[in-house]
Amino acid sequence: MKQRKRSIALLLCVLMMFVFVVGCGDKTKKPSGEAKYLNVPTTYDPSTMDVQKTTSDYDIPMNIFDRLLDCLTVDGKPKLVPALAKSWDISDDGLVYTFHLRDDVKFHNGEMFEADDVKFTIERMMNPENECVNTWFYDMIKGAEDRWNGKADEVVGVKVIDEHTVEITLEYAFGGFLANISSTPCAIYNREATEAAGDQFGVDPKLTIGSGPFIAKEWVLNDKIVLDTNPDYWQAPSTLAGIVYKNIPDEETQRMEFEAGNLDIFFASNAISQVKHFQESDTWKDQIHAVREAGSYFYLPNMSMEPYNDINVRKALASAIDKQQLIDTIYEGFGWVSHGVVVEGILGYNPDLRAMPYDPEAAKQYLAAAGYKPGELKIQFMMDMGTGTEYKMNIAIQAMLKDVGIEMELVQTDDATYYHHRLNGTIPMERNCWWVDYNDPDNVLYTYFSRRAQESNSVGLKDEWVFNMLDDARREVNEEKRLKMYQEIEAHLVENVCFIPVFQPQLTVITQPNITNYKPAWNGWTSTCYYGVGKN
Amino acid sequence: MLTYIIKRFLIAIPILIGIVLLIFVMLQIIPGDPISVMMKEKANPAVIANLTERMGLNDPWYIRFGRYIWDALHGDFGISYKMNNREVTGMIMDAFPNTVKLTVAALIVAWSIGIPVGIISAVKRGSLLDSTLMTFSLMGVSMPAFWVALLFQYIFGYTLRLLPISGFSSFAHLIMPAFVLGWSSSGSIARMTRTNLLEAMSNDYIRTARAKGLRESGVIRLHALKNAMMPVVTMMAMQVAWMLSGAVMTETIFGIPGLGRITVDAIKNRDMPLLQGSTIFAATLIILGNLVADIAYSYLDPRIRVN
Repeated sequence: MKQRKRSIALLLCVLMMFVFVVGCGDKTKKPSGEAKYLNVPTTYDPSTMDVQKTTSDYDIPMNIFDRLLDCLTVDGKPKLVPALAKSWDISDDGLVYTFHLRDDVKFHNGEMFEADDVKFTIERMMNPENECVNTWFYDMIKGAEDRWNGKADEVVGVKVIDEHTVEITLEYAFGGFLANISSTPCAIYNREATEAAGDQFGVDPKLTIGSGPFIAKEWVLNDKIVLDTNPDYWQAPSTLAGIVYKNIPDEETQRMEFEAGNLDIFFASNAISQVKHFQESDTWKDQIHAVREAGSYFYLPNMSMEPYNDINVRKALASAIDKQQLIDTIYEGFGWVSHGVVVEGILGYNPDLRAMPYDPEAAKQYLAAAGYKPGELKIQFMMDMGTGTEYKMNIAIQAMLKDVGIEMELVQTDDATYYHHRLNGTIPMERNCWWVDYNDPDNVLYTYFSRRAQESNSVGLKDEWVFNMLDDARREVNEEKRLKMYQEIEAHLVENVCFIPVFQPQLTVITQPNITNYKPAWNGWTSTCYYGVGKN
Repeated sequence: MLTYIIKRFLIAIPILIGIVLLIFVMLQIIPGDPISVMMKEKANPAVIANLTERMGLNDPWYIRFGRYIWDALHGDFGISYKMNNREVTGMIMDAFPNTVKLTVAALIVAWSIGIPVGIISAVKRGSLLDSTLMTFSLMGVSMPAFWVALLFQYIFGYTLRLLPISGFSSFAHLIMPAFVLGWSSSGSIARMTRTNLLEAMSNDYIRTARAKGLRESGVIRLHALKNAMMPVVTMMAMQVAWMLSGAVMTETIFGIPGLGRITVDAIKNRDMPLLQGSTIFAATLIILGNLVADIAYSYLDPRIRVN
């Protein structure tokens, strides 16, 4: 009897402890009325916060750094607006840009922003010892290539005129230059803080100094990144207390956390099947933000490899893919069939461009014209670890190709093997996608189809006309003429099936009802700057 | 006893070196290029050459292996390829305490459920209680952790709002993952305890103990259980090592920044220093787990020490 009493007492103790622990709750929640943290989900940690050393992890840099210009959505359209540069002059030949800088900008360490910081930033990117990966944003600046290749000690095209004026001379007139430097990788760093941080810049939040609306405060690997509001921001400080990026790799867990109110934003594009659920919910049906993404999915056949060097094979592939079916079945109908890579929303979009339509009978004829009997052509697609939807899309296309008599084998590799193949030009065919960094057709067309791009992509294009036109279009100062040139190039690429456009997706973001002034990024990226967003 | 422990410890050293060599060689021969991961398509040939030189990738594998062992002995597992300028040792050491917390909590759950359930089932063999408990333990073994995790999240986190759904910042965050991880282990412990206890109960010394007039609880506790626990202890030690090396699914679903997460990321990104570091760390833990099991064995069964 005594023993039983003891057991019951023990059980009660355990229960009390449980209740106490559960009752403790989350102490990070602040009482209403005070500025609050915006809770944003991420599925993985960025490799660094130093945006000169990453080609994809832009979330944090967008919020802690500033650029000379910004691209914002104004009246539903992307517009270049002054940021650290309050105004600028462009020489008549389009070669010299003089930026007049703000004199009231303080970096997070208290240093004032000066023209020398602009020079330092560009020099740092182009210094080969720094092993930066975004050098192509500055390689049109005079002397930048020479600095990158170790032939010069400085980028001669960047001159500090006085404390608040910097002059940038280009190697050639580049019409998209202003748009280009408004992109995230062109964030401006502080010389003193960045040099002092050494290789820990971008790694240690306390040493990662910018001038942006938020200050990097804490980074717990695979757990969270905390940014605090910059009280000295040159525009008014954000009304938020800061941003907490919560690393939750599982999307289903993210959804539950959002519905439980522990996340303020949910990127439904990552869990597209959930959109319907939110559309039918009384709480969230008015909190759905949708925007056409300024980018698209497309397939790239490696034109230097057999059988993709045969245009009839490429035409057969393009006609065999039912793009609308892919959107309907895999993306729940949230997307639009695309006909090029410069899709609606990007400057220079050509609404009249028409890619090869879905026509399985025509595909069989092209296949016959290429000399293949049904079932005879065996090809390979390659993909990295990718996403579940990418895999599903490849599998669906595998079935579509089988219907027209093409056997497709899907080779999936880890990221290292994939990039190794890509760099060596040995990817046979792959799904690719590009969301523009800046609003200019150059950003996507030059990236994939320029002469230089052929060294590091598996596109395998050998078309001198395209290469020369792309170089000429970059140098064209007259915008109307320049955009026309890009449309001509794109039409040529589509006609020769140098890529197979598939579709332009929709970014769908759901916010909590107490979140105010949230606008999706103009380019449809999930990475965005949260300056201006409020939380009641 | 001390000689036995030292002997077991010394045997562990060549095993560990063998594992390190195996991991090192395997990672060298698989295709793929770490530089490609670091620089992606934006690489400049001069930068690639610099980077290759700086990371010592031009040296023959045995030089790199020697250097690696030497650095590892000094606690330096190198710099992560993927996570810019981060030391692997620091990454592992940051993640390890979280995995230890999860493991300890899960083991408390596993053992405090598994052992009593196993004993009760053995004592009440053939009863309805026995069948019910064994059905539950079979469920524990059979249900995949990720599924149980989602179910728990949905019930206790989302619907009842009793516990946090994910994260790892307070004790409350620990409860659900500990139950998910512990429950599946408790099933196997319960089944093993039951089987071994039943076997022990059929021995002559149990009949002798009963004949001495000992109470049934005394017979079980003092005579049967100690003998029955030997294989269970081995399994439990292995479970400790397995959990410490990273319960990947549990960590991923609950967003716990533990060893399993960094290992999976390392595999995905071919982050060789991180992969080598975390694998060697996990292998060391498993060897230590075995060592502890052996020592516990010798404590429970003096014959092992003598032999």
